[in-house]
Parts: sequence; C-alpha cells; structure tokens
Amino acid sequence: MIKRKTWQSGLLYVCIMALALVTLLPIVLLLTNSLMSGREIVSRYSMDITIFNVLNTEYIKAGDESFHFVEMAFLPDYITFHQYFKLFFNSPEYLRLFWNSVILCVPIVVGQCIISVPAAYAFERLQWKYKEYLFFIYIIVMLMPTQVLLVPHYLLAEMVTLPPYLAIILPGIFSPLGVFLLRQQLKGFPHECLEAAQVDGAAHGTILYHIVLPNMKPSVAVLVMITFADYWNIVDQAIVFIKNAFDEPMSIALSKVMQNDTSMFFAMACFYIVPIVVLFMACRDYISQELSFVGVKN
Amino acid sequence: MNVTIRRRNKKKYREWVLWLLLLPSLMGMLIFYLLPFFLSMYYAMIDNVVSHRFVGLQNFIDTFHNLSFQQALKNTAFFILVGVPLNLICSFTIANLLKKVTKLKVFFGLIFLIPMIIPAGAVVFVWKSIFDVNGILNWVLYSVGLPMKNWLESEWVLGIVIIIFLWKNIGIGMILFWTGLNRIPKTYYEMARVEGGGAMGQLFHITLVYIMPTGFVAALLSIINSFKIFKEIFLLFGNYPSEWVYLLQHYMNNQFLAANAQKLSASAGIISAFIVSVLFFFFHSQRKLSEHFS
Repeated sequence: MIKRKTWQSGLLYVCIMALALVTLLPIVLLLTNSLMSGREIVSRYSMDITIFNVLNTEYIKAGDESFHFVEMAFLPDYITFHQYFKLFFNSPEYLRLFWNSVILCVPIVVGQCIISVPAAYAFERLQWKYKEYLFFIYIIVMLMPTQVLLVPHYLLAEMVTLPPYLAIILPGIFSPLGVFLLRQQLKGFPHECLEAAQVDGAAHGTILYHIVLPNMKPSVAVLVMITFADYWNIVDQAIVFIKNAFDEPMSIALSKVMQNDTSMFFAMACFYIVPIVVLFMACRDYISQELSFVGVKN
Repeated sequence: MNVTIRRRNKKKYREWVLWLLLLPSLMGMLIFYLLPFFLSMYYAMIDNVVSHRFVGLQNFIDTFHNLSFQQALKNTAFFILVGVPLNLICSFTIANLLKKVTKLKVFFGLIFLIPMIIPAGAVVFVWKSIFDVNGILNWVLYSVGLPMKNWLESEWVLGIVIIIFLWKNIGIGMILFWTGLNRIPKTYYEMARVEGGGAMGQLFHITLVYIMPTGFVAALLSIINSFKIFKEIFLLFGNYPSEWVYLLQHYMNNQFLAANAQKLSASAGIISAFIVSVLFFFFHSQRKLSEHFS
C-alpha cells in the first residue's frame, strides 16, 4: 500500500515538473540564446521565407538546397556577452525603445495608485443608496476588451488633439481595475476598527493614511504588478496612437527587431523582461496572499 | 438631543469628504470612459461627421452585413468557444494534480503564473520558430516522414493561437481552481466515502458542484483574456493576417487605420453589447446557482 502511494506521488511530481518545464521553456530559451554570438543566432534562426512565397505551395519540399530548418538550441556553441555589450554601448536607438516603455508605464502605475486608493476607500465607506450600481459600471468598464475602450479614447484624443503618449497615459491612470481590486481587499478589512477610529474623532484622511494604507500594502503591490505587466506589454493602444517609429514602446518595436535585426533580438528580449520579472519576484509573497483572498471574496 | 444633532452633522461632513476622495476617479471615469462612449454611440447613429444626419441603426446593420466583420465574428466565436472551455478543463485538471502536491506548492504556483506576466513581444519569436515553415514542428514532421505544412498560413492557425492562449492562461485559471478546491470542506469527501461514493461520484456530486462559483470567475476571466490574444496575433501577423485568424480585434484595428468613426463606433457598440449580455448572464446564473445550493 505504502509502496503504491510513493509510486503515485512520484508520478505526480514528474507530471508537475514536466508542466513547469514546458511553461518555462520559452523563457529559458530566451535567456540561453541571448548568450549566443550574433552570427550563430542568424545562422540558426534565419527564415528564408521569400522562396516559399514564390513557390506558394501548401507542402514544402525539404530537399531544396536553400531550405533549412530552424536549429533551436538550449546551449550556445560558445558563450559570449557580445550581444548585450552591443545593446548597451552600441545601439542607443534600442535603448531609446526601452526608455519609451518606461515613460509610458511609470506614470500610469503611479497615477493609478494615487487615484485608486482613496476612491476604493470612499466606495467602501460611502452610504449612498446607489453606490453599488455605480460600482457595477466600474466593473463593466473593467471587463471591456481594449479595442472597445479604445474607441472612446480615440474619439476624445481626436477631439482635443492629445499627443499620443498622453492619449494612452491619461485613460490608463483612470482605469477602473485599481478601484475594483483595492475595494475587494477592503471588504475584508474589520470595519469596527475603522468605526472606532471615527468615534475617536479621526478624519477620513487620517484613517486612510494611518490605518487603511499600511494594511493595504499587499493589494497595492499586486495592483502595481498587474498594471505594470499590462502596460509593459502594451500593443493595442500603441499601434493606434503612436505613428512615429522612434516613439514606439519596446512591446511592438521588438517584433520589428525580430524581423530586421534578428541577432539583437534575444538580448533585447531579456533586457525587456527584466523589470517585470524583478517586480514579480519582489511581490511574490503578496501575490500568493492576494490570490487566495480574491478566491474567497468571489 | 444636542449630541445626536452634532453627530448627524458630523456624519454629513464625513460623507462629503468621502465624495471628495472619490471625485478624481469619478471625473476620470466620466471624461475618459463614459462620456466619450456616449459620444461614440452618437457617432454610430449618424451617417458621417460632416452632415450629422441621423440614420438610426443603419450603421449597425451595415456592420453585420460586412463580409470581413462576419469572418471576424466567426473566427472570434470559434476561438472563444474552443479556447475558453479547453482552458477551464486544463486548468481544472492541473489544479487537481497540484492539490495533491505537498512540497513546493507555492513555488509551482508561481511558476505557472509566469507566462501571464511575460510580454507577448518577447516570446513571439519562440512561437515563430516552432510553427514557421522551417520551424521545429515541420522539422519533427519531416523526420518522421509526415507531410509538412505552412502552419501559420493554413486553416490550422487558429489552433496554434489556441495553444499560445493556453500556455499563457492556464496558470491563472489553475490558481483560481486550486484555491477553490482547497475551500471545499474535507468532511464532505469523508462523508461520501463513508456512504460508499466512488471517485467518480465524488467528482460529480461534490467537487464539480462546489467548484461552480470558482468556475464562473475563471470562465469570465478567461473570456476577458481571450480578447487579449490580439497582442500575440498582431505581433505574429501584423495588420492584415490571413482570413483564418482575422478576429474582431483586427476588424476594429483596421477601422482605426481607416479612421472611420461610424464603423468603429458601431462595432464597438456591438462588442460591448455582447460583453454586457455575457456579464448579465453570468451574474444571473450565479445568483440562481447560489440560491439553488444554499
């Protein structure tokens, strides 16, 4: 009996490990391949597609001389940091793309927190009859696909001729996600505690700053992470608003680098995912706390 | 007497402060979301921005008759109807596996969340080198001696998109199911075992019944995330993909490029009506379910 159990749990761990490996595979691939030399990357991944467009066949004959398969590899032939060196010291145009992403994301994340924390508190404490209806509007807007929300943003930006970055940043700051997340957390906050402070004569500002905020740290951290991940990966809004190739954020510029300058791709991609991975690691305890909490609330 | 009046005044004052705290968010909502949305609904009902002639629902009807809109609707519906249930089934199964794991629980949970945060642009190259004409998949097929295919241009491409979708979204669904499973009291299972219920009976009469609310949340989240797959598809195929992956998001995106405010607003109206009805359906059936089981 015991033997069967250990055998079963062994199998279970093998399954889970395999799944984890498949999940991580693309990221591991990025990391290891960024240590290849430029020439190796090009020779491994060059995709000579033109010939197939000419042939325009469904089934490709692999015997053709100009045809070769992608030679994906997890270990470079020899390890070199040359691509990183090139990225940091030799290609300011790529660094600028990174900087574009930064100046797009950081104002949204900061603004979102500044707006959402008081609003969530107010939503929880207000005694207005219709506040749940108002909150439902927030939820509906939150669940809309980006393209649908883009239409109002687009019309507004056309009407008052907002510069492209502001046309993305301003609506991002007021996105209802933060209010929703933080209020879900506040619902579980002991209300007696807040009322006791109120009886003692504390103003709302004091309660918010000294009691609520320190206890909301986990959800604010998760909000920062989710918002940052969302806008760091911005595609939909950027392709509508940003017309100038120099102003593009990394998220869409990277696919152009993939096509035009393949050798730089892996190093850039790694550099690009560093901030979000660091943020994720920094918030990991909060995330596991928050996830179990959201589950309970819903 | 005096005290109650003062308290009432104080309460009023405090409500006022709360409104002040809510005001920035409320104004932002109005200016950047709600008012422009009503403006777009107005645009959807006029014939063009010059004459401002009211045409009622004509733009909506035109949109429905548009062939590329129909194609986009068909592809999007297929993607959601296949992708979302698959995502739920996979994440539920893995959550059941993970439930039995005792060591390194949090570690595995975090690993499965990582695809969620990795930007589409960084991994799109990996998908390309797997599924492209000379990619790994064709290499495997060639080595085994099976016919190869230009997958990204074929009618199978939506299947590939579903695989990418699953890779990205199984994690979050799994975490939701996992927490949901842990909340089902163990005594239910013990009772079922005492009364002689088999593994299948336990699954259908306990697990699936009590996981239902979590399932609703996971399904909703999955539908919302299914619209975000546009990022990957856009980075893989650009503005004009083959007809097999032409989604509603592409249709809207091409209307943006054409700067056609009427068509744009009409299709936004249609999609938002769809989302709102899905939402109402979800909340309604969830309420019914919870009444049924409580």
